[in-house]
Amino acid sequence: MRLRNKLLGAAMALASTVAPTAGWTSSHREAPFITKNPKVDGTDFYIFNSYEAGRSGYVTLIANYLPLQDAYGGPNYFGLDPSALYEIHVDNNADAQEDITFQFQFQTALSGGTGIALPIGPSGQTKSVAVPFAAVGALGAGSEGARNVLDTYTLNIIRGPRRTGTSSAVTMAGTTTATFEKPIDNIGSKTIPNYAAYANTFIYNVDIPGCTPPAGTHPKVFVGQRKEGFAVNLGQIFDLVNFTTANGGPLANVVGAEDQGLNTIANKNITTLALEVPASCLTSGSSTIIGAWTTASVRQARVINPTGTFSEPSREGGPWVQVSRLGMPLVNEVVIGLPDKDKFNGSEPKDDAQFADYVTNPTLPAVLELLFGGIGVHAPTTFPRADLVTAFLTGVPSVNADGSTAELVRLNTAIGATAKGSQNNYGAVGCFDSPTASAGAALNPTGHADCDAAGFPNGRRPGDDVVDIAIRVAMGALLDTTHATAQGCIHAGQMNCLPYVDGAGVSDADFDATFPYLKTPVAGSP
Amino acid sequence: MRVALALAVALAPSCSSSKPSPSPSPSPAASSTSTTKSVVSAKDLGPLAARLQYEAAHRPTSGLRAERVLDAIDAAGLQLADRKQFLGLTAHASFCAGGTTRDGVGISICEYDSAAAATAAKAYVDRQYAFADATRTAHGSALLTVIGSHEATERAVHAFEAL
Repeated sequence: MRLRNKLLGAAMALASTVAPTAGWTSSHREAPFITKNPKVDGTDFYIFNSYEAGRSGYVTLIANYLPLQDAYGGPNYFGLDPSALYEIHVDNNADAQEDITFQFQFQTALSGGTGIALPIGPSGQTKSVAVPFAAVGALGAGSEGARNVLDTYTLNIIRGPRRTGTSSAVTMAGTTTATFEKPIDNIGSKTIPNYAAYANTFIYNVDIPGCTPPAGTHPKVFVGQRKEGFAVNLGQIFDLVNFTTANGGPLANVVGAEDQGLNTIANKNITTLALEVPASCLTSGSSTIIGAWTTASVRQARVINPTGTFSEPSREGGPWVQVSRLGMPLVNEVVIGLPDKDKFNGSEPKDDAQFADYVTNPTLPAVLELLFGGIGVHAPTTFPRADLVTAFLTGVPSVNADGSTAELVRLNTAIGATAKGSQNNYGAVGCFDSPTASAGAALNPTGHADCDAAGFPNGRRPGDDVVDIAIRVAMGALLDTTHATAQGCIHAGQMNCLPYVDGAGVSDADFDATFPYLKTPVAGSP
Repeated sequence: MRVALALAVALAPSCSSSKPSPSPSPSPAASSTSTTKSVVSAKDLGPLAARLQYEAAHRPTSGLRAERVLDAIDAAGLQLADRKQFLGLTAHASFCAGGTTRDGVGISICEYDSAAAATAAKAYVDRQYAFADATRTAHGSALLTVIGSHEATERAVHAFEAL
């Protein structure tokens, strides 16, 4: 027992030595440089055929930024960077380069230009003094007079290369207004008694130049704070302390229940940039498949203003430099090696051949084997991992492969959406036959009741449990059983596989049935 | 995960290294012969490697050693492509090792301080990491886990229990 305690102590010390300040989330603080720039840190990217009733024919694109927001983070809360470009790119001709870009730019201003001030001092000798708060009274739907910090944004659609293509302003439906407002973050119930109703007034019907929506409908846009939708058991699953029950507390079992209540970011918020666009405005020619990803860029140079002001704390100049990139979930976390994470964030899909070794010879399975080998977990033994190339770089043939080899999220817009309540949170994984000793998993969309072809990796919905899927696929779920002795399971009850989980479950039940799907953010105070 | 990945980058090459183990020489109680293949342990790989080295340096001084078990299983026709050290803590073990045969049979062997500890660990692992495809056998102060066909499992278990 003394030795066991000693071992545990050593393990705990080890864990504390190597544990990062933030852990494994889809792309939260995943690269060294981006940790210095949280406002432009893309965390999750979703693209799926809209499953809101009456919105068939639309595609929803959601880019989340600014990770791990604690709701009480006042007085400034979590505004986006007015000096940055936030973009969602769409490739519709399979060359791994953007053909359409939706470009968001933000502006932040004080109310009335100088902010709300109060007369302070004895009668006749008062001074007008600016208040230090973001809001000085109750806010509600259509009632923002007490708001002290105003966030607005413009949205442009760029056809062609993002910096040299043709740019047009997206406008409020039926108007020429090209400036949209972003709701203030969820400060708390005293400031904003009904945040859901308040935030809903910032969902805009829009007109997109060159895009004809289905009759009687409009594309939509929303930017604002939402409840974090990603679910992950932060740290524990790869924390050595997790592997013994000697210290008590909540512990994940890597082959235990899918949801062990260990979503450690459940009470965090995120900032969402959401669009709903007709599929016909995103596709090109006869192809129904698109690839998409999000990026954030900042000016190459920043000079700190030694006498900083609200409107000009610094000055930026030079060309735009991409500092964040996100398509498929977890790629820059569990696939790309630490030396190349910032390089990946600055790269473009067309150049992804430079990262191929990380996919064909992945390190994650080796780590899982190292940690769990004693209980029977073994890494797949076939290289190069063509199955991972299919999963991460090409898409699945006959489903969403478009002929390109690059890391982006591919969506076949012709595959109908699955309604909330009927989605399988393991997405399209169930559309494959179980592997055999001599053959990997073969696509069989009509052969399995648990096949949900509208889910990840055919696009990605908020309710798709991409962590569990990623672990299982990395552990050879699609490989033959000879080369993947302890492969991840595809179907419930499947033999010769392990049902790897991270213990943090997520499903469509955790999200709304309507745009922008992600839930009302956690309030900063009751 | 970023932790795991960072470690993986460093660990993966060494896990497949053919360099001899720098871990302590076998104890006098070890019954390995001069032809016994060593288990490759990680080195110079940061904190997790230090943990693995700790386990390699604090193996039980008596009882079945992993190398001997793997040699016996090897002689039974189940040759591992590589012998790798695994984290023993996961299985409440002092030391673990194993690998996969070219035919896809997974073998793991863990060492314990006593037969009672091995039996207790089997109960723990069966409970915490239950999966139907794994056959776990405690024998002496060691715990064998086999994932493979019924025939291969029987061969491995028979070789193990004959020690």
